[in-house]
Amino acid sequence: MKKQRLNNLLFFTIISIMIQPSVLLADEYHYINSLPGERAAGMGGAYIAVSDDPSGCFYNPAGIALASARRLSISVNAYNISTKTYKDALHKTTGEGEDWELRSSRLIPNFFGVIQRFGPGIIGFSYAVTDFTSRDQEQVFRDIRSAIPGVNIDRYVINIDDVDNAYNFGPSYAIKLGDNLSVGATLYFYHRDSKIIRNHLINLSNGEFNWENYYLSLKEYGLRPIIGLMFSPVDKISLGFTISRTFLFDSDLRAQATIRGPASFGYGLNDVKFEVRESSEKRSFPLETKFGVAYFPSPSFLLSGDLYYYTRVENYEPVLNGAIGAEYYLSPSIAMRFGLFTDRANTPYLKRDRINQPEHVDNYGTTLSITYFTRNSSLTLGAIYTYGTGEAQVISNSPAIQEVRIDSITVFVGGGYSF
Amino acid sequence: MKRKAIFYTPILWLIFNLAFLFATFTFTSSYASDFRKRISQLDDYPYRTEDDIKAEIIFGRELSARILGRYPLLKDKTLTEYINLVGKAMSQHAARPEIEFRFGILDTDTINAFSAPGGYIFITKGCLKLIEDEAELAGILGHEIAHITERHIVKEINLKATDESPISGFASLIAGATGSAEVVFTTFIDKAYEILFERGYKKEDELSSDTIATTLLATTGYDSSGLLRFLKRLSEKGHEKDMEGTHPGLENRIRAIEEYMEKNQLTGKEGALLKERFYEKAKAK
Repeated sequence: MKKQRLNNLLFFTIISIMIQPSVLLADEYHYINSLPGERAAGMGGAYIAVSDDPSGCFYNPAGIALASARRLSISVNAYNISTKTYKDALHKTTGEGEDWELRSSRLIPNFFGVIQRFGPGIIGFSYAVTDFTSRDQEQVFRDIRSAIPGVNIDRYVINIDDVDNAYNFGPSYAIKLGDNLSVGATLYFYHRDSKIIRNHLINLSNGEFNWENYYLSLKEYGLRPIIGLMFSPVDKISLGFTISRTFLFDSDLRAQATIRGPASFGYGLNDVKFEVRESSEKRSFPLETKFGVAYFPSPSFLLSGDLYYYTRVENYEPVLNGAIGAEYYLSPSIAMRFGLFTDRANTPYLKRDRINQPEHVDNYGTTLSITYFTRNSSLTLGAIYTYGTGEAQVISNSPAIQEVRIDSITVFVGGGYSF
Repeated sequence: MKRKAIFYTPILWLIFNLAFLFATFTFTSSYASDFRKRISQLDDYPYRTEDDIKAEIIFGRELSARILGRYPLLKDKTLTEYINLVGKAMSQHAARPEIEFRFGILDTDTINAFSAPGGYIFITKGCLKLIEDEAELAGILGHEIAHITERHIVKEINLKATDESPISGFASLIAGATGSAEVVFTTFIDKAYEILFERGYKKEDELSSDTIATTLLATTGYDSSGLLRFLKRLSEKGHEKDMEGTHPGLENRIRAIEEYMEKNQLTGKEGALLKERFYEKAKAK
């Protein structure tokens, strides 16, 4: 979905201090918003050339053909908290800058997968949540400058209630074409359910007030095929390759705006503007090609590295991301995993003297996990930390650019069972 | 500011991926995917828990009862103590200190030796008659000890516990109090009995036990060719057919032991034979 289209739908803003409702989607400017799978998450998602368990359905379906047993896997983001801070987004009447924060916290099962032998190959079914955000916050700012000459904002109340989830679920099938080559495919049904509710109440120093309420909802339905290849050119080395793209077949966007502006902007006592807009325009998704290499020097040690390329789509730039991961067994019962990954923005760098530009924040993440194995099961506890910096324009119709910092910590638990 | 990145050129990215695909289909050499197996997935891992060891001992006791149902135990206290002396000396250097090994003599002229999981080992009276010194006896007992330390029966009957078996793990055989668990337990005892008296161990398991026994002989201080000499005698005297068809060809075993001894510089290495003691304790009977 184009950012511009959202802006056109949303902004009736009459006071330029009004903070944008940001974006409708949880993070439409990045492609790696979740790391599903207990083992893959610990390795920074560098899993394209590993993928030999149920999470391979998501990362590289060719890998499940190499799984050693029927297996069920589940991972849960036990707790995710992320903070996006816009530096000096507001200015107090004293001239001092004031940051604006968007906070999200969520507990969600983000992966479930099961694989088992079927005919000459391995069949799988998986469910992966690739985007999840839940913001429920109330903020009050006092003594803020406004764009109206001679008038300040005594009190600015913002209430936010956002929920955005992107679900992928569907079957996979993989088959070995030889000792060192396998192919596989996953066909995900894609569903996105997004809702934004924002309430803004501004009390001006001249006794007037401005109240705005926005309600937006987006529902998308589509298919996401993933085709994968896994190959071992030499002993202990594995190469993986996948290609995928999401195709929408239905999209339903609804937006409501209710505004009661101040009298100085021509609003009467009972004069409330109400506008509803709808759109069924389907956004385009990039073609994703991913390449991975993994090195298995011993049964206790594994190194892997991935490169991901996302093509240009509509107004979004092409993106190259990467990840590296390692797995080390302290004993046959305990494994440690570590990973690093990039999650770069698909937007261009911001230009001066322009307004309403999408933000550009490049994220970098690190992961760490520990797994305890019993006879047929495994239990993992891990954490993902993501840090990003960049620029944004959170004040609608203003050329001001703010520095942005993103901090996100996810604690996840996962489990697997062979049967 | 415009982003600079060579991979942002779709053509270069396409070339990169085509090169990968080309490499994929050009390399034709074949490699097993075993290197993917993690240490937690290796074959012997599922049998390491305390419950598994207890279960293995109970299972072995039951299987021993079946063996004794086929051949009675020779009631000779002195000889049994002697066999236990030699066997326990060998087992001191075995890889499973958690197992207490017990040795018995079967009152039959059949030439064979048997082992049951959990440390139960039997040698036949017929076999003892062919042995000429204590090193040979130790070699035969070492071979059976190796079957236990390497969990050959355990692995074979529970090979698919993490794949196709309806029960998960060896311990659940014992722990399950349900009727179905008892049926499964009996079925697995039948399978183990079949391995001992009809099917035999896998060839690689037999060869592995021979080499481990040879190593045990050397580490215990016996003549490391004890087992080799006994097998050669069996072969020379044409006793292969008397071994109930449960072992691979003697020729292969002899050659494998010779190669192993040569490779590990055991050939010609001197060790105790204890012929006199063997004759005093065993041959005098």
